[in-house]
Amino acid sequence: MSFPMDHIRNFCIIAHIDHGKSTLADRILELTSTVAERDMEDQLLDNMDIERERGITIKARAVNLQYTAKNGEVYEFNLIDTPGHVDFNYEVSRSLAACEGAVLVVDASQGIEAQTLANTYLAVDHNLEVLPVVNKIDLPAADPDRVCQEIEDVIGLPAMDAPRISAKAGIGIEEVLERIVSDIPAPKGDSEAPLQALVFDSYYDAYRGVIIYVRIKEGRLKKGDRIRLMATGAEFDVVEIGHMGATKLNPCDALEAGDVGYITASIKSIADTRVGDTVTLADRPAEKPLEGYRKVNPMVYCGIYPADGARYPDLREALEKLQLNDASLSFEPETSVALGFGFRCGFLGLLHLEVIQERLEREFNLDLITTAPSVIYRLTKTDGSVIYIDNPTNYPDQTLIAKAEEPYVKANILTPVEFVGNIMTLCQERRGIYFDMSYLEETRVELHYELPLAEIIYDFFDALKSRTKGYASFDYEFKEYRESKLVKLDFLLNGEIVDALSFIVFADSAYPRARKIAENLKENIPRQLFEIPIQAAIGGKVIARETVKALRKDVLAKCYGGDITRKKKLLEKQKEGKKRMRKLGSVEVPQEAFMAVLKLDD
Amino acid sequence: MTNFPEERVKGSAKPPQPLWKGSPIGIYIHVPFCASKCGYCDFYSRVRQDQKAGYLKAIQQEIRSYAGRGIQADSVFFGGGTPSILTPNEIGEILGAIRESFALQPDSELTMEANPDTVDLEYLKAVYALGINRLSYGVQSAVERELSALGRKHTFPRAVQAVEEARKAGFLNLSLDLMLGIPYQTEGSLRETLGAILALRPEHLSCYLLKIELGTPFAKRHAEKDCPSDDEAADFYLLTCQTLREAGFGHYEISNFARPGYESRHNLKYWRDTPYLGFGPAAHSCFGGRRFYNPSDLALYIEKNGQIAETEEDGSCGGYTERLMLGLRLAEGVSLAEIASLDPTFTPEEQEAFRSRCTPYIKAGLMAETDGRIAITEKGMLVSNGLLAEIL
Repeated sequence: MSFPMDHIRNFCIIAHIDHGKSTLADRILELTSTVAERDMEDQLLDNMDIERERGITIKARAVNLQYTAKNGEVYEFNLIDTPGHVDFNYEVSRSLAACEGAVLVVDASQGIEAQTLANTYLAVDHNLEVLPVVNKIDLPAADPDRVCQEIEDVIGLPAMDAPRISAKAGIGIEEVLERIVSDIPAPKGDSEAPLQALVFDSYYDAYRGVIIYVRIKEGRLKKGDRIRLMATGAEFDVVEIGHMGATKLNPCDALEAGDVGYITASIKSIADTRVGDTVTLADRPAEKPLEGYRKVNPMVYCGIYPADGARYPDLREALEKLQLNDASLSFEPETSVALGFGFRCGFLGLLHLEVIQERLEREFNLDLITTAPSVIYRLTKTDGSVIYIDNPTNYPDQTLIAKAEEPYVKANILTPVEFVGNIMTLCQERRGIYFDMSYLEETRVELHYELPLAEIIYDFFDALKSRTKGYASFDYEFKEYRESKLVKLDFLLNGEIVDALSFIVFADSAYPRARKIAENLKENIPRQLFEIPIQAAIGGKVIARETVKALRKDVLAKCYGGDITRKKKLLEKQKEGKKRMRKLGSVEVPQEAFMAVLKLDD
Repeated sequence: MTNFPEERVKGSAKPPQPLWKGSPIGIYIHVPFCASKCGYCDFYSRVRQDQKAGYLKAIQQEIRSYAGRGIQADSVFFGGGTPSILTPNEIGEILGAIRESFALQPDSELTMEANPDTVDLEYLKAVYALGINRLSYGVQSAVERELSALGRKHTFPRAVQAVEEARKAGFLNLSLDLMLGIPYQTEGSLRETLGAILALRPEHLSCYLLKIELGTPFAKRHAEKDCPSDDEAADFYLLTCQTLREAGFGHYEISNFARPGYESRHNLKYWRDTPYLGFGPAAHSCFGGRRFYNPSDLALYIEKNGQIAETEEDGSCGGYTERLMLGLRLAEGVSLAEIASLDPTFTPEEQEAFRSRCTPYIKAGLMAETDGRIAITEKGMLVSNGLLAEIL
């Protein structure tokens, strides 16, 4: 069934994490009877276990619904669920570009948070009509009046008549749907113009190849058309097009300007279908692609190694599979003296890293050793050449470096006013440069800082939470490279450098950090038959030292009545335990020790 | 009687050997009864004694299943449990079955474990008359607080008395058990115990570092919080080694010390990987090239008349890894050439690989090599579990 353009509404839901975005999406699905109740599973749009467990959306989803409004007319809704985290900002921006409006969900007790602002600004930048909705009004701490006022004061959106709902309890959902019809504009576009379709997501299906999610901006697309992706230049013959139902894909004959739908074309590699690219027809191409495409580049790198070296091929296969659905994940083989064969992987941010790591462990049953994350440093060598370093092992000798630069981000922190002092201390510890501070309301402020990215990829978010009792929220974007004083910090176990523990650090932070990590290592390395000196060094100079004392007592005193089997079993168990450790020279190091470098805040 | 041991072992197809050709074996008798259970003990024993008659019948049956083959033996060890819970008559019955079924050598070592509180002069005289010539008392400590924390029924003065009674009864070979790293033990209290024990002039001492086993009352009540730390316990062990050495004892096995010539013949069979047969529930055997054991189930043992042996998971014995593992518990250590002569799979390459794995530990003083024998030092014995995992 094809709808006239003025009966189509393309919208997304934006919110700070946990404000109820996915729950509202579920209620909308229920109310439009898109999903039979028996298929209803909480957070239907969040397909991955991790998404459900963490309450975050990692991949964009889209669903096509039909809504019979109070005026008796039937409308087609295309609801696009956007990733809710700063790491995925670019994906968010492409999802927004596929819509005309955004439903802004704000928690009635928590009010505006960092991502509320970041996402709203993004939506406004994309000229979306923003429809504020105050959620969780059934909670005892709810204060919808205050939150509406806050939306008006801080964002400048009229909000006094915003729907006040409880997505969880199903209160006020219909009002939201009516407002979508009345407030969000219908799409515009010319179905007879050359095709311009925006790719806002894609994923790999084992049977059909890559499935591209598109918003048709101009023109018309039919089954059998030969399409071209304008950024990559790749061409394919369309096998199937259609709409995304909540539980299955519904094929159709044509997609026209204003529509949101999917395309399959026997595409084998997701690298050909980058988010933000424009799909056009090969025989009648658009003059130019839609604006806003860019290739996303990883910001954070780390080494990922199988705990059991024999599973290296399994790790490769797992990364390849994940990459099918995640073009922003990059990896290439690397070798570590300490850890053997593994991969240097690039991520959009720390959450992205954690999600990938967790999926590798959970979905592919891999035991991993992950090295400390690193940003990309820009070094100008004395011979004038410029190199980018994402692996501390490749850091050149200090004497060869004329200029070292590191990436800075613009950070936006929202906090109740009583924690401002704590946050300022934290940002100062992390080399933050204070930019400005503004009051959102009497009790809440917004702080702007410029911070080195390297300082926030470890445990900044955890530290921020613990120092603000979880009340502060935080958001950042890349700003620029700035000159910095950097050194490479090495760690030695029993006199031997462990390359997997090396990292690049701001020179003035080197001493305290070296001490802290040496302590962490001491706590994580079990006592062994020998005393193990732990040293931190810059160049050849040792700047911190700890010692793991030798094990003193580990003996089976009695083999009662000739029960030798018991002793044999003990020996087997002991050998088994050794397998879970990495042997670095003569030192056995458990997986956790490699994570010790990450935990800096007490 | 046609129950040859090979038939008792599942899956064994070896024909019975008509005549014994090997060196004399050791015989272990497990007595699974105790007057009460000690909080640290996870050995198999029962406090109820109504199954004693059934047990005695079944164990004699099991022993007699080896009769008629001329198997020589030169050591018998009554362990438990608390063997001294049996009356001299009952001990005599079991010994009778052994003498009728095995060629027990005239100079055999016949040991019996006993609790100081379950014996008296009369009892000791009676068992001595039966041929028991070595007594092993579980003294554990000379400090009352430590004894009661262990759940021992006797007092130290009673232990002193029991030693005197043993001497009076004629025993010339006495072994005493001590425990190290037990609740409330301090360096001072250990010195006190060692002094008091040495004053009793035993021929042999076993000094066991307490290990809190899962499932024991000690584990359940977190007894470790009252125990010295591992580092302290290690120091206690080394202090004990030194004190006993100065008193003229040889430290011949991780936990065992003896005046020259009084090393336990029976226990050495375990470490030297020579054959022994264990009778009674939960008893282990190494015989005919195989390891087998009786499950820890007294009722089943009685019901099946002692015929319940099962092969160990790794049922072979005599392989070089096992010989190394066991031999390295002894101060005499192992001779690689000797082991290679007994197990040809211990090739020169394997020997070299083993030696090179030992080298860093020899350098570190945890092991030593002298006169072609490799041994673990006292310092190394304390960490022998981890050490063996590295070198085997």
